[in-house]
Amino acid sequence: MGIPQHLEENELIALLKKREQDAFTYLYRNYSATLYGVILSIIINRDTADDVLQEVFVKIWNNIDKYDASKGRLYTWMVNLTRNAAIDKLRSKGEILQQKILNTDFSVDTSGSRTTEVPTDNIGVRKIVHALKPEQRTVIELAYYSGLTMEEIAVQLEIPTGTVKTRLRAAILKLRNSFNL
Amino acid sequence: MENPKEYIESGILEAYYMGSLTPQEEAEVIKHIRENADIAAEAAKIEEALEHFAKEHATTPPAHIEGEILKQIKFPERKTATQIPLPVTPKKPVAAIAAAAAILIGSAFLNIAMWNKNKAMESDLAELHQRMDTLRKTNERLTALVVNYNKSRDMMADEGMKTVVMHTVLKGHPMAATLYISNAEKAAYVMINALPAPPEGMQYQLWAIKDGKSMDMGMIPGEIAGTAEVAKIPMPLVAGEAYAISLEKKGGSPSPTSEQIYVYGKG
Repeated sequence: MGIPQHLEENELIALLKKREQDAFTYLYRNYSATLYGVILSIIINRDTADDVLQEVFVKIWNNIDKYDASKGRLYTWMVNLTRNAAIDKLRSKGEILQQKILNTDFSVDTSGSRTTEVPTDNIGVRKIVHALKPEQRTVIELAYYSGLTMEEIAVQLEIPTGTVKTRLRAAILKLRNSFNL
Repeated sequence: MENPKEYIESGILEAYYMGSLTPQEEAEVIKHIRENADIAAEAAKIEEALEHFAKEHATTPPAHIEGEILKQIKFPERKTATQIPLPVTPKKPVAAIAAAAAILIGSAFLNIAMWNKNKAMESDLAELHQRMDTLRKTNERLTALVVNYNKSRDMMADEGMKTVVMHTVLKGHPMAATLYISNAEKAAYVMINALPAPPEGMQYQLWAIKDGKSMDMGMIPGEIAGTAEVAKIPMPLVAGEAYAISLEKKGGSPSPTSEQIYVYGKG
C-alpha cells in the first residue's frame, strides 16, 4: 500500500495493528504536530522535546495492541500518552513545573519563557486559557500540564476533590464554547 | 446510579479524559458511558474539545525526527515486498582516483597503526628481557649463596676444622665474623657475613693475637662483606690465642688501629 490520503480512526488502528509501515507514516504525518505541540506546552527545551516526541512514537508503535477503543479515541490515548511521557521527562530532569505554576501567575509564566519558545503556534490556545478564571486555569494547569490526579490537586489547593472536578468542568465548558462544542 | 445530569455536572468525565482518575474510577466511568446515551454524548463532546485544544498547540517538529523514529522501529518484512535492484553506476575515473586515494590513505593509516603496534610490542619485549635478566641475576645470587652456605656447613662439619666466631667489640653494633681453621691443610678461611661493606679506600684486615702481639694475617676482600662467601686467608695462619678483624686503609697496616677493631674472638 502507499501512504493513504485519508483514513478513519478505526481503519488507521487496524492498519497499525497489522504493523503496516505506511500506516505509521500516515500516523506520524497527521499527528506529530499535535503531539509535538502537547510536548512543547510542557517542556521548554527543544532538544528534550524532540527526544520525547521520538519516545512517544516508538511507544505508540510498540503499544498499539494495548490501545482499547472502548476507553476513548485514539487521539485521546495518544495525547495522554504524550502528556505523561513529557511530564515524566520533566520530573526525571528534576524540573519543578508544579512550583512554577503555583508560585507564578499563569499569564506571567506564558508571556515569559514559554511564549518566547513557541511564539505563534500557541497564541490561540493561550487566549482560550487566558479567558478562564484564575482558579479554573490552575486546575487545568495541574491536571493537563502537570499530570496530577484529582486527589493530588485537592491536596495541593486544599479544596475538596468534588470542587476540583467542578472547576475542571467549568474550565472545559469554556473551551467547548470557544470551539462551539 | 445517581441521575445522569448530576453525574455529568460532577466533572468526572472531564477528569477521565484528562487521565486524572484512578483505574477503579476509570472503569466506572467507562461503564457509565456504555450504559447511558446522555453521558456518552457529553463524553464525546468533552473528548472532542480536548482534541481541539491539543490541535491548537500543533507545532511541526523538525524534519529529521521522522527518520530518527523510523530508525528505532522494526517493521516486519513483507513477503510481497519486491527487492529493488540497486542501480549500477559506471565507475568514473574521478571515483576510481578517489577510491585509490582512499586506499592509499587507508594504507598509510594502517602502516602507522602497525608501526605503533610494533613499537608497543618492542617495548613489551624489552621489558620482558629486563625482567628475565633480573630473575637470572637473582637466581645466580641465590645459587652462590647456597653454594657458600654449603661450603660453610661442610667446613663446620669437618672434624679437622676449627671454628672461631669473632663477636663485635663495638657496643651497639651487632657484628660477627667466623674463622675456619684447617689444621690438616694449614689453611684458614674467613666469612664476614655479619660485617658491613667497607667504605671506599678501606679494607678489613685479619689479625692473630699471640703473646699479646698482633700478627698480620692478611686482607679480606671487601666484596664478601655481608655475604656468606668464604675467603681463603692469604697467609699461613699462625695459631693464636685470639683473632680479630679491624678496618684499615686499603692494603693494610703493620699493626691494627685499636679503635677500628670490629670483631674479636678467642681461639
